[in-house]
Amino acid sequence: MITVTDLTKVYTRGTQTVRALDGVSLTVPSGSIHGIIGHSGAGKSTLVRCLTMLDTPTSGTVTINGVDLTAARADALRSARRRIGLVFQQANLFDSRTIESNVAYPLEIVRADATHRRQKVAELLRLVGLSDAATAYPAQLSGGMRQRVGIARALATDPDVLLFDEPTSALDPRTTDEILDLIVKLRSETELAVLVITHEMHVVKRICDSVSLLEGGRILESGPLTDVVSRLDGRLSQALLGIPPQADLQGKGTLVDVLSSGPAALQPVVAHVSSAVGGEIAILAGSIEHLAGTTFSHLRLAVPEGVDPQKVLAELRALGADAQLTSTLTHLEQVA
Amino acid sequence: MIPLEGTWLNNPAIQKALWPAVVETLQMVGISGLATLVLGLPLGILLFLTRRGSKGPHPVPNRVTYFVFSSVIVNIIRSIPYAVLMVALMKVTERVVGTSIGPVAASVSLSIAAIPFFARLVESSLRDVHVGKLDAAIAMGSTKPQWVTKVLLPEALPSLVACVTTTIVTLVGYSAMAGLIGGGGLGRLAYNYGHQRNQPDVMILTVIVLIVLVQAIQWIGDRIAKAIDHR
Repeated sequence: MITVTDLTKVYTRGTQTVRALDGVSLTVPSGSIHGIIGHSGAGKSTLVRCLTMLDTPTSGTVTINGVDLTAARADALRSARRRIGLVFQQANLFDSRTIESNVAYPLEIVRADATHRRQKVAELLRLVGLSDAATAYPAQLSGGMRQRVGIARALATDPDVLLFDEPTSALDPRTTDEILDLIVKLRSETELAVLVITHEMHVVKRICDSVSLLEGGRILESGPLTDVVSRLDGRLSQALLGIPPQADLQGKGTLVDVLSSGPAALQPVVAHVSSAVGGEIAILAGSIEHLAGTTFSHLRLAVPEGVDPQKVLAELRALGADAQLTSTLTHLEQVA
Repeated sequence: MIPLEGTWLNNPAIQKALWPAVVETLQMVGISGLATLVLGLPLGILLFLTRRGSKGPHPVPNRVTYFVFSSVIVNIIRSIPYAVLMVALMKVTERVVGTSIGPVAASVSLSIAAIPFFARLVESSLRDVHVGKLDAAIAMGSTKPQWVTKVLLPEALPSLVACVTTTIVTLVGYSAMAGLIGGGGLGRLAYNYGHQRNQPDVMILTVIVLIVLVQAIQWIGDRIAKAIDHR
């Protein structure tokens, strides 16, 4: 379990002060995957560094399984860090060590006995599918394989939490999905609290149970994936169920956005509403995604002249969908 | 006996003095090289650990240590040309070794000149270790002695070997200078016979021996660096 309370980090560069983190609070329970999404410069890297105390936060607390890292003294902090697995974007493996020796490093520094070390390393390499590469050096592996080694190394001391800092940003789409599947597998097998920091919406869609949007050092939206997606006018919803910006929509009638989820998303809502209001409604654009086990559909409709858009909205809402005039939506821009 | 009449090898200076000169040069380079490695490596690590990092606070004890060792000791010694340093240190050498003549005496000034040089190279090669690796080691709960000995130094090792090679080659050059004021070795041979007695064959042969020596040191250093480099 990770609990972050009111975390603030202020950097001073000369006379300028930069608030890299501004009152960030979040909770990641064991057995769940929480995503933090944001642009570069949003404070993601600072957040990871503060969570592991590689940077000291200006104020606020980071509690991992009951231990407040911000208050811990040097040796208590070291033991706490050994309960945290951290995976970096570039894996940051030690080039001078073989793969097995890289994975063994966290056990070496706690002076685990050699038999346990060998067994654990073999078991972890099997888990990440790299048993054959045990005696190779990192430079001989592909980016995806190196990232697997990074994950195995992070798991060596059986941590309670796993932090991923942009784990797939340097990987191609197929390797990305392999790594993401591995993360999901770990979560379901080990009851870890997993925090994934990323700028890729794809990562959130594919593995996260809950998500926070970080921008300018603040968390603007946060919640279970299904909740944030359901808010039609939310920035995360717009980003996760994005509709690309379209030109030449002039003269097509009044535009309406409708978002439905679950069984409602699979119903012929447009046909139903068209017949109810007595006018033919066109679908101009749409996005349908299966997220966290639920189907979501976000459609942009054109209500023809002569049909009252308010009546259309009322009909859509009666079917259990969230509907608004497109012109009233405030977060049409893509988040990521 | 192979007839040596009319060849360079007939020159008694070459027959009798060349080999002892090579041995003296190797003694000077060996003794000062070892002293430089033993004292310069810790100094280089100290410089690396106390310098202002790219991030984080730079506490006062570190600032003071870095100032004393970097700005004062290393920079001052490095700004003195070796020819001046070795003459200036003759009295000190006499106190330490009991004489200012011979390869052992010459090694004192050679070491004092080479330690700061090597320490700077070490500092710079440690700075080249990717900071993410050190972050990873620290985030895994390593103590400072652990991340220094198990991550920082092994990761920098190929580059540290290159630093040692460069330093030894530099010492070969310095040792020739040290020869002139009593250190002996190839520098003295070239000066006494090649220059003062005007025997060009001695001069040329000394140069050839030095070239072979430096090439051999560089070749061995490169081979070792390559063998331990897994990047």
